[in-house]
Amino acid sequence: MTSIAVNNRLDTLFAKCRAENRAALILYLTAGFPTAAHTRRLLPVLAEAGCDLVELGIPFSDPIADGPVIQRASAVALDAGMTYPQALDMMSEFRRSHQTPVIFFGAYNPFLYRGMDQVADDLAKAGAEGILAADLPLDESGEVRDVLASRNLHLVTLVAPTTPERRLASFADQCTGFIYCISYKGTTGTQEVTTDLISDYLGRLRRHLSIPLALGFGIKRPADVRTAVDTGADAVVVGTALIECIEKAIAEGADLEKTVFDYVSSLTKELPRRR
Amino acid sequence: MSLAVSPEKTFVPLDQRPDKRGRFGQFGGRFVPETLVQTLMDLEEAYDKVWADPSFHVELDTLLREYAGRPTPLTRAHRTEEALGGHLKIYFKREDLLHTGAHKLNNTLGQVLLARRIGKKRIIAETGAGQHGVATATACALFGLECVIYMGKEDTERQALNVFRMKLMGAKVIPVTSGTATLKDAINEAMREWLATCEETHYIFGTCAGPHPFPRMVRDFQMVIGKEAREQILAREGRLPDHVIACVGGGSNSIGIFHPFYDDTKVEFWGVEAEGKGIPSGEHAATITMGKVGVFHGSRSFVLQTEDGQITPAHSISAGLDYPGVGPEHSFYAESGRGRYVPIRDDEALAALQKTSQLEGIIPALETSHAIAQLHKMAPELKPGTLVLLCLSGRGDKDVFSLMKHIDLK
Ligand SMILES: Cc1ncc(COP(=O)(O)O)c(C=O)c1O
Repeated sequence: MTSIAVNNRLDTLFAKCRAENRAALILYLTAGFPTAAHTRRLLPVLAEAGCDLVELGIPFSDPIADGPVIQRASAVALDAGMTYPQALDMMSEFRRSHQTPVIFFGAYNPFLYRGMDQVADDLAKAGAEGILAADLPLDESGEVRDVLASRNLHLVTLVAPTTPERRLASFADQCTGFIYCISYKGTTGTQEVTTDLISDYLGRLRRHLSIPLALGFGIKRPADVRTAVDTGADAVVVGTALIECIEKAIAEGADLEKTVFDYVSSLTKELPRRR
Repeated sequence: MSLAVSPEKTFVPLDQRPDKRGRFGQFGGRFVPETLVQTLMDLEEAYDKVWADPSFHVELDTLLREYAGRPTPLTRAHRTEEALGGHLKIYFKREDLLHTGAHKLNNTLGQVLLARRIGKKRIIAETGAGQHGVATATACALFGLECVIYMGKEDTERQALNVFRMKLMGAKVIPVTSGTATLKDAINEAMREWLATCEETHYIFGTCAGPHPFPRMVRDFQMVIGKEAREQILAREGRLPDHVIACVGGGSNSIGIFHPFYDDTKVEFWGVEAEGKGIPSGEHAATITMGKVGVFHGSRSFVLQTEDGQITPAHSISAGLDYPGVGPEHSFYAESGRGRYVPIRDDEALAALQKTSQLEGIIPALETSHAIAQLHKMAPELKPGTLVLLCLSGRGDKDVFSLMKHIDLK
């Protein structure tokens, strides 16, 4: 159990959303996709269009939790020379102009290779709020959680539809920031979110967890955001659809900033709660 | 029959490995997306129960004996001994004579029996050389289970014969084009599928890597190699071997033959990795020799990776060793000094394959040929009377097509 309380921009965000009676919009963006320059341009656009929190994807050579779209984005970014130190640079640059919370999102290995103490220092210095490592489940995460907490950073944890109710108490004990609730079994961006799929699931989680619940995987359209918000999610995560939006704008030679801004704005409209 | 454990034993006793968290020292563990965690916990629990159940062992042992052809023979390699100078005694443990031609069936029969007991009727697996795919397809055919095999596109071409065998036995083979289109990518794709189907489907991991409980389970099912060999060599020679040599891809045949000798600390283990075109070329699969500790495919172990923590594609002439990871128990043996891990190049393996074919009338698999090449390499330094046990993990029939590209027989 984490003894050190973490409180940073991420916690302020969720407090603010609660006060405003709305859900938060979290966007996943693969760092360096299709190039580092694109990410540098797009981070401010996301923030200005109303994104509440950015998951900056650290590309990995062997992303097992990702569907074809994010796999491709990672491969393109790596081919274009994206690295973890460059992601830190982007982070620092973004933090100089914007206060939107950011967590680094990726496979555990690139963080581990760097060393978790070093990662915690790096992120604190660059102004990020935490990390999420897709293959670092709760039972393996104790040490990492403590190291990050000692620098006032969150280790955001995943929960899945296959997580049985009897294990939720340990999530309640250990998780900070928010919990990322995977909406279906499978990889990112490969299924649709429906009320039927998520209502029992979110209800079950809510009975045990008081920390903000972010629903992710399969949320693409404004209507999906509405479904998630109406079902009680405190935040929604959109990833695959943002990558597809970027791919499409580039392929069609459209104005990238405007296309992304418009897409993100269409999602933010659905964040307010109806009750 | 057994010999007393040597008194100067300094290594951690067997029964403590792995611990409850699936750790062998700092290695192992269960580093998977949360979606799979409960499935793996359930599998571990089911496996513990089954392994402690005598009726399971009766069922498995009967299958191994009456269907798979166990025990496999221990063959004295007379002409190899002569060619190496006549000072050594060399025994081959003949897993090439197991049904389907490699050790892989020991594991798939065990896991299919387990899958049946936990009520899973659909099986997925990855394969590199195709031997594990064939062994999985075989066990599934035997029990009428649906079988889907993920295989890197490059490997489906290198090992076309095995693809045909799998299909002939009713398996569906899915060529994987992502990443480097080899074994690691086949595992990625099988894992991705399993994220969606884990509640109905059992994933038969083919080597002693992956998340807990696979490293332990695969080892336990492969341990029959070493248990038999230990008894056989004691019966023949009245003593234990001085050296045990085996090739290491993910490490299942090697852990299977090493593990039962773990407490016999005078028995030296040699794990032979693929050096591909040579370490300086960067094109190799010498994971323990050149890798750094990382987390890959569910466990903490040595991994070939870049300075940025990205996995480096491996290279080996043999598809079954072409893997940038390695089982955590081997990393533990390497770090604690219990085993030694050495690299052998493509050309050295090819030469050993030809030599063994001519000297023994045994065409070994390219994977196995790495172990034999290591024996050839170390022979001059061994004292007269040294007793060597080598795991002949598989036969080379599957490699014949690709061998024809490398060997000119005139
Ligand atoms: C004959 C043979 N030996 C060895 C291996 C390597 O696997 P492992 O290290 O798990 O024994 C393979 C893999 O396909 C194989 O077919």
